[in-house]
Amino acid sequence: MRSGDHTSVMTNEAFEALAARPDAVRWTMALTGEITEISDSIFEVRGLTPQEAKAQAADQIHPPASLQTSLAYFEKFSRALLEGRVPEPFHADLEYFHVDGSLVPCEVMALPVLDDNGQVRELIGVSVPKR
Amino acid sequence: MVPRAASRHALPADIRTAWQRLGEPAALSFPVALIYLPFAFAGPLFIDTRRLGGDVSTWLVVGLAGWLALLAGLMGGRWIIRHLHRGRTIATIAVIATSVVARALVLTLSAQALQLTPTAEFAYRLNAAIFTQSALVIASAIVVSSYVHHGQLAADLLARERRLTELSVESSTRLERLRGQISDQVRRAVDPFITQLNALISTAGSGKEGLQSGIQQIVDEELRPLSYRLADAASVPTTDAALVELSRPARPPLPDRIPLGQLFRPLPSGLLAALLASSQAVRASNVLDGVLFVLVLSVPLALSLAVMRLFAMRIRVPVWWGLGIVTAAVAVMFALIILGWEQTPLPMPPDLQWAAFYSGAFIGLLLGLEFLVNERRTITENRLRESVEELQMHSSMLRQHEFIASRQLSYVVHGSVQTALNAAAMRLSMAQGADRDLITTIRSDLEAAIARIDTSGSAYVMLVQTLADLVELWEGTAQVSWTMNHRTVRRMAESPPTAASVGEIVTECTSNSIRHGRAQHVKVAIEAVADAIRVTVTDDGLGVPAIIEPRLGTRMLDELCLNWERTSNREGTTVVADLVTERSLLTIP
Repeated sequence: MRSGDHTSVMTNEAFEALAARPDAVRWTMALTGEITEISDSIFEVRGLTPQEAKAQAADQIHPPASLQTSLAYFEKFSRALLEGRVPEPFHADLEYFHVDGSLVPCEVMALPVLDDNGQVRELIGVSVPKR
Repeated sequence: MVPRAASRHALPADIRTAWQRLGEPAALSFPVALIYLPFAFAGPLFIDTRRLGGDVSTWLVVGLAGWLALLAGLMGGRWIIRHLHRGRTIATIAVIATSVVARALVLTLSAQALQLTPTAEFAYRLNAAIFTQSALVIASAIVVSSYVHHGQLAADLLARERRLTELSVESSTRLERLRGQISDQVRRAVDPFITQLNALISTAGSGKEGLQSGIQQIVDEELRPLSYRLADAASVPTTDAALVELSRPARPPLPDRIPLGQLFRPLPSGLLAALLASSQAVRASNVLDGVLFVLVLSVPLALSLAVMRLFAMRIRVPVWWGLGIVTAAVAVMFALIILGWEQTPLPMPPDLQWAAFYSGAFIGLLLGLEFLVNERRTITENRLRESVEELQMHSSMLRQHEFIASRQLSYVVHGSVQTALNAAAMRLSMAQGADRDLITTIRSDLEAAIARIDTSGSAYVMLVQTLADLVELWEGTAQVSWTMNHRTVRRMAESPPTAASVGEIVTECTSNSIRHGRAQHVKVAIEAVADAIRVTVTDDGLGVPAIIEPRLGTRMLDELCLNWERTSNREGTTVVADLVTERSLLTIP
């Protein structure tokens, strides 16, 4: 399965619906690009603890095509922040490496989180294995 | 980029530094003789008057004659060894030894001539010259040379700091100038045709065939070579201008207060005391008494100063107060040791109390000054090092800006302007008659294209897409893979020239690996390392043919990188390049 952007417009409701799924992995990313939190359900999806997952290099998380999609979004996200715009949300299918070497296709959504002043504070995301 | 092997030296850094300072011209200068001046009179006034009698004014004359002999020796020696490039330190020590011996001879002969002594005391004077006076002159020479060296460092520091300030101003000016020059050049080429277009409007299109061929001529002969020149890194002006010469450098100030203990120097003080004592030790009745005299004078002084250093380390005093305290303390300690010695039945040369006090003050002052000069030099050297690093990073960032600006100008000239001209030629050829509206549209398009030259330069390169395009470009020929993390992407987004530069470097290195090295696999890793970006391109190719190596993008790498290196072995070639980012400049202390 190849990764790719979804054409549908993503809403907060869609994000919450996906995040409510029992096998959803919730994660947050700082504006500097560091993963700050990952839910324990990552173990069910990728066979890794949250600490192990956080310590991984980008190319240990995604195969090349998915890595490109993820980084291309984050590049646009960063440009938007630097230009003072609120970044677009992210919705795409991405593949993750399982600890056993297999690939786990996931539906991924990410939303910029704003503070009370309307400034982007972090990126919150959810990755759900595709059934 | 290539790490230098750690140098191994048998001698401690302080001694190596002192050795270097001794080899500099300032070590044989008038200030050295001037610092030594008070001591030149110490022996004649405090020892010889008591030892041999005679009035003070006569001994003053003798002391002055001796000092002049020393001065002449130092100046003459400086002139003789002025062209030496090697062995200057040894030559300087030889000059100092000769000068103090000359002083000793003049003292002896003038004292005898003035009937202050019945015999020429060559042994006594030569012993004092070789052991004591040489050491004192060498110590003075190190202090003076360190001071002068520090002045040069301060001048260098100030020049680099000024250059740093100028660079940021020059950069924007230079980019504007470059853009203006390109704009002028394009306008000079295109303007005659704008005029002809205006003329066509009034003549209802007659003569448009000549205009079409003229436009093609501009594209081929003017704009295309210009865009190639701009795209070539060689056209980027260098930012390394000569440093500004400054007449009066400001020396970085010492801290307001320093730990008093640092000014107490037990070991060098003990050594100098031993050398001073040795000149008088020859007056002892036998060798054992002489050695005992030297040890009793020097060892207690060193030990007492070590204790004072220990206790005074926590006391912070103003610098000049500290110098006064240490001068007085060493003088009093030296005199007290002599007084204490006199209370014992052990033999000792007579009448040394005042000489000891005077000499102790000289030792304390000299070593305190030497410490302060070195302390200041260390501060200056640290600032200089930081300043140079800052300058290198600024220069590298400016080169990135200029390189990318040139490239973007090249794209505008090659793309927008040429396209507008080509389109104009085609429209003219296709139109039945050149009506007023068509010619007005063509003229507007051309002017709009030229106007882009003045506004280009801020476009952001989407690096991820550039890398993806590169993989696609070489698909079927070689397998290109790349890796980067989100943190690095963010860092690049903050520094658009760096992102563009990384794109250029990766494109160039990958192309070299596949075209020249015949690589089948090329791996690109881009990572944020501290505040810089490191690009590593590894291939499994045949390496770089020596005959074409200098041309393989090395100029571009030199321009864009803070440092870079290329290594080849049987497995392939690796290029590692470090680039400055805008953030690097923000975090400079």
